[in-house]
Amino acid sequence: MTRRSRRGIALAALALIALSCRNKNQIDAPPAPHAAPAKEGFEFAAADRKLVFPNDFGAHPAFQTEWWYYTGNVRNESGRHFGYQLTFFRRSLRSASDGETRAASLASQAVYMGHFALTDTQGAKHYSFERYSRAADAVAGARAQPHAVWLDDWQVSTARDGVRHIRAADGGIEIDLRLRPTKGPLAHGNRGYSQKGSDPNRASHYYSFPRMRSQGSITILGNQWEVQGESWMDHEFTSSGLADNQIGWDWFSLQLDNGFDLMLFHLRTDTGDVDPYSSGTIMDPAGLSRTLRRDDFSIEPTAHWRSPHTHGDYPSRWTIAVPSADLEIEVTPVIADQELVHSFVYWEGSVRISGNARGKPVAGFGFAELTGYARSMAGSF
Amino acid sequence: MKPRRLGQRLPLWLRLSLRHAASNPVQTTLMVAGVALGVAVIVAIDIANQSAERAFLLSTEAIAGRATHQLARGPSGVPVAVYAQLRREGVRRAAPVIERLAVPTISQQPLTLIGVDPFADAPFRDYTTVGSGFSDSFDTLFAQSGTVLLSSETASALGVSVGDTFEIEIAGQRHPVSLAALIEANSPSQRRALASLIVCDIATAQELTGQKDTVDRVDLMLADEADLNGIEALLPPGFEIAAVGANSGPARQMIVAFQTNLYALSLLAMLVGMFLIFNTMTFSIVRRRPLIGTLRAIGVTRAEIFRGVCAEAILVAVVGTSIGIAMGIVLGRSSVDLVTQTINDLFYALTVRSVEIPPLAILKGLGVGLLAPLLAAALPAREAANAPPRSAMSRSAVETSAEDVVRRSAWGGLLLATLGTAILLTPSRNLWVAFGGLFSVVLGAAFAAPLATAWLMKAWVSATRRLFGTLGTAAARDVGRSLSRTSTAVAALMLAVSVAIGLRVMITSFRSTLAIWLEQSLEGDIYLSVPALGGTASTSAIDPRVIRYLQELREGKRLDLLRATTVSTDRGVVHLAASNRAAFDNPALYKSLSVARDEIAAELASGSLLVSEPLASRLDLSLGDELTLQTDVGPAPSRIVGIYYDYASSTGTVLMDLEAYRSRWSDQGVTAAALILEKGVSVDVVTESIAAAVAPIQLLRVRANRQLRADAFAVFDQAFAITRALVVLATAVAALGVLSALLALQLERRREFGILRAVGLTRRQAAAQVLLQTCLMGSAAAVIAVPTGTLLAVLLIRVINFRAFGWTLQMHIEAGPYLEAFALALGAATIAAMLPAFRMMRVQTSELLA
Amino acid sequence: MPPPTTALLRIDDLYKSFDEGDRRRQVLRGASAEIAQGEITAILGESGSGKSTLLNLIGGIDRADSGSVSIAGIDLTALDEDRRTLFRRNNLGIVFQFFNLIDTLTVFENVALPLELRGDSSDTIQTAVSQLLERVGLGDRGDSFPDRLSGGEQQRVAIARALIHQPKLVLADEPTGNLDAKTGTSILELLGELSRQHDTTLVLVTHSRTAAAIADRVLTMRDGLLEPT
Repeated sequence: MTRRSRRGIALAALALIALSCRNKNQIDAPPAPHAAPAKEGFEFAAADRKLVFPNDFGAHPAFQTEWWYYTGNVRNESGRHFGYQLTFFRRSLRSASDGETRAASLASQAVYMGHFALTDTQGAKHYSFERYSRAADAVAGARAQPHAVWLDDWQVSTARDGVRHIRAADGGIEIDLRLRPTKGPLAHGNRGYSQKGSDPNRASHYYSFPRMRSQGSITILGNQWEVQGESWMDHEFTSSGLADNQIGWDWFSLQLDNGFDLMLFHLRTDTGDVDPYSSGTIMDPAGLSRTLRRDDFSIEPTAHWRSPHTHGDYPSRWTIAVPSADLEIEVTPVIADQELVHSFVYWEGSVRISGNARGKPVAGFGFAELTGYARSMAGSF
Repeated sequence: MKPRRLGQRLPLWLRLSLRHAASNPVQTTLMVAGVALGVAVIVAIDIANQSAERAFLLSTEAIAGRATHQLARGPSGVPVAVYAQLRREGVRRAAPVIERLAVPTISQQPLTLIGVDPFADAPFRDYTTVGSGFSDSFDTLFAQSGTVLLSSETASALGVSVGDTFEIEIAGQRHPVSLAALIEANSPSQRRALASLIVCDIATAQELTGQKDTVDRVDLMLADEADLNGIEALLPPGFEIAAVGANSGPARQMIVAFQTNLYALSLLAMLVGMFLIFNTMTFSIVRRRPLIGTLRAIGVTRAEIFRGVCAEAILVAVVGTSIGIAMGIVLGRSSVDLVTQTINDLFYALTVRSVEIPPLAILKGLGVGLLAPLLAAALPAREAANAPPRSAMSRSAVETSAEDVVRRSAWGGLLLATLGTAILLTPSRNLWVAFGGLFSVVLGAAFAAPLATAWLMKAWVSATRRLFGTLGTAAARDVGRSLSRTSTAVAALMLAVSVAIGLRVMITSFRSTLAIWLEQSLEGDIYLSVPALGGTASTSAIDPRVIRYLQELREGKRLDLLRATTVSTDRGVVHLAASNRAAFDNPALYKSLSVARDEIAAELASGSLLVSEPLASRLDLSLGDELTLQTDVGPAPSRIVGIYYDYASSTGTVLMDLEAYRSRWSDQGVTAAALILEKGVSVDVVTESIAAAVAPIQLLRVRANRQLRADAFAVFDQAFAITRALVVLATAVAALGVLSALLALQLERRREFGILRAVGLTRRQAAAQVLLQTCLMGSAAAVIAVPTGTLLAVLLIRVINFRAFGWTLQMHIEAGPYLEAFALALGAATIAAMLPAFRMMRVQTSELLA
Repeated sequence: MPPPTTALLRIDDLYKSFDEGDRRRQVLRGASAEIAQGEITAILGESGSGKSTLLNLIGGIDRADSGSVSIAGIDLTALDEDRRTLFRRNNLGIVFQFFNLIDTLTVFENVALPLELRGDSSDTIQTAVSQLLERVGLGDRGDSFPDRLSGGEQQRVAIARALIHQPKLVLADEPTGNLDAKTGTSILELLGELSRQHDTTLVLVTHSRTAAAIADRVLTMRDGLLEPT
């Protein structure tokens, strides 16, 4: 028996959540295709399951893991730039099919974890916070109609006109924004079925609101700015994680000023290759989208940044090309250090875009998420 | 011859002391034993107290954690929605808690079940952290109903291992629970704190206690007043936020009072011990007068003599204290159980798994053990230093000065007693002040004892002549004449005997008051209640089906219902009892009333309150005062219309009408029921049939009136077990004092006895003489102890008890304690006379004359 | 005021009385004497004549009602209790009739007492005490306890203790009172011999005429006054 700090619970709970994301050590699914067993009665993502809205805006207890990701880039009148991230993760501890119905209002079968981060580009500062809660309507949960997801006072709610209101505050950092979707919901992969490995069960259901006109306020330690800009929302649910040979991913959501949006991810394998199941989506200004396969795009790191916190060696500048769209862009973090060091470590931050599309210069902002670069936390469990 | 050469390299006086000690081994042993016993009692009580105290603090701390405030709403609890509201408004340092008494059926050792939300709880309590194998057990604990955590010690004490299912009883309902994992303590103190806990997820606790939408309280960590105001603004009416720690609850105050009492009693034992040391030191000085005279003649200064005597006292103190501390540690281990048992019975569920030896207890023992002998030796040392440098001092001179001392000491005693009385008359609620006064009075009596002894002996001279002839007269005269030797011994024995009388009279008074009160207040024939700790009233509800069954019972004439709970008031958290017959039939139960007797029922129905005497005393409430109750419908200022006697709870109770209660709290629960039977129905038969009928519904205590009364006395007697033990110890110390005094007295009289033997006194007669003398001393002690002990009893009852617990006790004097005291005094004296008498039987006349 | 003389001990007009119940007994009524350095003086007198009282006053053990005692020019009556004690410690040797010795100390330790009180080193003490014990004929009894000695031997120890620190003045109160005649004589002889040898002034209180034999001068205590014989 080892003694643990108070973080023990938090870490352990996180380990459970992190399973689906990156902790390959705890994945018990075998690599063979079609052989992944149903995990303690959880449902797997399936190609024939269609996303249905607004039902699918809510939580999916039949799936083990789920998250709602809100990221965005906003500025105030004078052009001061901020990036924000507000994420809600849900992790079931027991499948609903276990059949136990509990009377207690605080009874809970799942854990919610929240991450909230703010990048102050001009101040070259990145703030981030983490929270946990039991899944019980009183304290943390999600609702389909009208959509809401909350963990204590980190909350997303939807008004009758479809405008989403997101609020989060911690340690003197606050966001209070209203997001009006101008595109989406937009299903990725095969009508929302996003395969992540050769086993068809190794997949998630995944949709986004790639453009949400955003307006509201940002507060940093007592200074408040009225801001506007664009946000991006992802919602994904699954019962499987990375395959044994997958060590992490590089994921991008990019909003170009020509009205196009890109979602791209590379799954990296332990041989240093890019997994063939890496993919992406390109969306035109009208909201029409096209799925990009592994070979339809390239992401080339052109610079690196070594984290002073974890000594993780992250790429920190990329050249991204989508030849079929005649697109080549440079993607640069607005500041290098946007690493989140909490229960698990990853880099998630605001990026700036410049380049050419169909021969015309394009620019824009987006978000990148880089996992599996810092020393794995798995070893410490 | 070896001991005679002790300490050849030591300074002169120490060498002399050492050799004196070595050549008088019995006296030396007695003196050391006196210090040792005194120190042992103090250390033992301190260890017991502090172990219980630590356990109490650790377990309350473990339960309260780092919370600064607690949000609660009386009996109906805090709705989860209110907690949710706090969290949604960004109050993050808030953790829901359910806390209940739970008794594993395997052990019957009461434990505290604490239900927490592991996530919300992290900032509050450390022990919610779990060891390895965590992720699985966490899943189980968190998501599976009926799973709990135990410390590994508690688990092994219960004989359960991870995965096992065992049964716990909460509010008379049995629930199977399974052990999800073991809690690993981070520190020894945490281990102790965890010993009395069952930890589970808040949802499991909700299910076990049947409160689906509420929790008992919400723990809060608030930085400042602004935080507090912010939260209060978020709350609907009827909720109260109380600071943790500062008020620390009525149970804590009562435990402190109880422990203060114990501690003071242990000091009383030390006081007796001090007298013994004083007595023995005085003796050894008196015996060495010629030696001191010689030394002075040779040129040893007064200061040197004084320092020498003090050094000797320190030597005795060091040896006695060392032995005493060792003895105290051993004694302490066994007294912990007694103390803990009492606390468990009366106040709080406490598990003391480990006895700790607090350094402070040792320090106190050291302090008292080293200082007391020094203090006690100061007077004899001064005496010695003032001894004129003569080749020979006449004994009559010594005794003349002793008579002076006796007279002066009596004046001093009078002064002390007056001072003590003045202190006791001061209207202070501080228990230590009261004890200070008590000690002064008792000490005063002890100082006056020598003079009283002298008078008594003068008075008894003729009586002894009639009874025992001339020799008897000699015995009485001798005691009177040898006051320097006898008076402190008599004083010490008197002190012990009067303490015994005082405590015994107090206990019998208490017991008889309780008996009368029970007689008056227990009107029911059969009582039903949810099992709880010893004397504490359960606040868990009786199943409504049981109440319905009782209401329909044919044999029943009347059913009294009681709801006991705790509520918040503007004066802190108090116990509240609501009854459908809150007004008493028997007027003797009221201490005072502000309305006419026939208006009480109506007053209570309109929401007025009765408060019990201890509560009135503790919160300083009087008739006509308003107590604001935090009810579910907001604060309700309620007028106090009467104060009633109640010896069931020392924390005090507010009594109100059940209907009035139900209109203010959304709570229909009943925690106790009293059934009055139709005439001619057999109580035993009905009791049995009720017990059988309710058993399948709920585990309840169904007791006939007689049984309930017996149970009350059992708890009472248990509570005084430790007090009795202390009386015995104090008496033992005094017996030692008498023994040493007599030994010295007989040594003094060797020559005299030699002459008597030479002129034809038989050995038997000589031994009888010794016995007679000691019996005279014992009798003197007992006679003086009668008024002193009675006074002590009055003070204990009227001042100490009232200040500590707020009870009015009827003084109840019966012959028993006094006869016991006489037996004690004479017994102690006789035992003490055995050795000298035995010596007298053995010794050769020539040796006596040598 | 008489001019300073060579007298070691000056007793001047001493008065002393005791309370006895409700009566007062006048013991000394103006006793005066001068005793020279090295002189051996015997004071004779009947029981209760005040001899011991006089000796106690000389030794500073008791205080006179009036009058003065001065030794080597120091007025004892002007000293406080502690100074008198210290003066006694350094300048006087005393031999009593009873209770001379301390039961719990060995013969050696008893004799060493005055040196020890003075703070002499243990080497010095060892030599001095051994020599003196040898001299009084108890060289082999140093380790014995007083209760193992005969009365005569005990007084020899007492004499040794009185002289060990070479006091200016030795006071002896009936040193032979408790002994048979023969032993008494030998003790007196020893005392006289040693006093002369060390040139010590000796004041000897006795009621026996034989004691006077070793004295240079004999005074008699009568009616509270000292009179030459």
